[in-house]
Amino acid sequence: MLGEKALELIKEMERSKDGKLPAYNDNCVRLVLEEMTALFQQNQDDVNATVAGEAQYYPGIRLRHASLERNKRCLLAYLYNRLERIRDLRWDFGNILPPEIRENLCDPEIEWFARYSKNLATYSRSLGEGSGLDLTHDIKPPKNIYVEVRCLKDYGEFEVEEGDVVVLQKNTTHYLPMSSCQHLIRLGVLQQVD
Amino acid sequence: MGYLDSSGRSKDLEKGTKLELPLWLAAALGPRRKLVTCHLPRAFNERYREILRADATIVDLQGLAPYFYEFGRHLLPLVGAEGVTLGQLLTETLKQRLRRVMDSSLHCLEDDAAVHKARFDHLERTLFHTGRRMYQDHQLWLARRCHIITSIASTEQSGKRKLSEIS
Repeated sequence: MLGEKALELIKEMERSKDGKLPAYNDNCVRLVLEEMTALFQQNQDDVNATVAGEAQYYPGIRLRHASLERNKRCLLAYLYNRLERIRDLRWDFGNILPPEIRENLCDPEIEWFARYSKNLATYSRSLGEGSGLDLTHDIKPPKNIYVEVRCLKDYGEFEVEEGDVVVLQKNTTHYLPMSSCQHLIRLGVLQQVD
Repeated sequence: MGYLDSSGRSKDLEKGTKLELPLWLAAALGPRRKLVTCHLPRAFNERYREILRADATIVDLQGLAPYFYEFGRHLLPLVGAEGVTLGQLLTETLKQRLRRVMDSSLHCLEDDAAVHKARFDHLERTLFHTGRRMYQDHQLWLARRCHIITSIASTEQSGKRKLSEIS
């Protein structure tokens, strides 16, 4: 049936909505593009065979054209939704992606991510009268400067902003400045205790 | 266009053939081009309309049509004169069911959520989840815990051990 592969892409995005970004489905995209090329070729042949004023091939052409537009729409939706998810990753993880997520992106997406990352960094630097303001920091308004955190996995040595070095071992608790350990809490290395 | 009908053998579709088309295809061939005329699909026919009119709150919309409202909305321009009744049906159904959706989203326990939403269609599910999230946020705020940072949902899953790490 026409447009089936394209629908598969959309379903894949829908299924993985709450979880990890799935790997770029190169195979499926290629199949859709092949289908589109074939449809376009058939249409072109029919148009060439049509004598002026004759409507014999008209419904067929119309049908294929609709399928072409449908496929195009599905492909664009797939790509755009992936981009939106990748954009959110930048805000969650910072400018370096964990390798297990990075391997699910295709090359143009990695390039886009790098460019978006750079744009965001440039904009952040231009804020706050020259001193710069990291927009991804302090997503929730902080209450205290220092927080108590429990370590959930072995992380190794971690240097706090003032220059002190703490060793983050599993199941130890620390009293750290909010600004420096926020990122690790977001990544699930530390857990905030109240 | 004979290949649209898998049971037919002829190269072209005969006039008057009835077949099921995807909505997007029907929309492209239907109203403006006059190549096909559309009839309402099963979930919106007279029999189900009667059932929904009688009591919409107990109908299993997920089983009937997972995207009931959205699908219905896209059908409106295709079905001509029947569109008026269809439109009324959609709004009436939502009106009757909304109270139930809101009630369960704000008051049911975590474990019961799956049971409650089993009968909801996609739009109702979205409403249900939004309601639950708002309720939880409100609870956090009341407990003065909303400043606490939590880890990102996707890292929790990646925290599971991988096959390569076990062996």
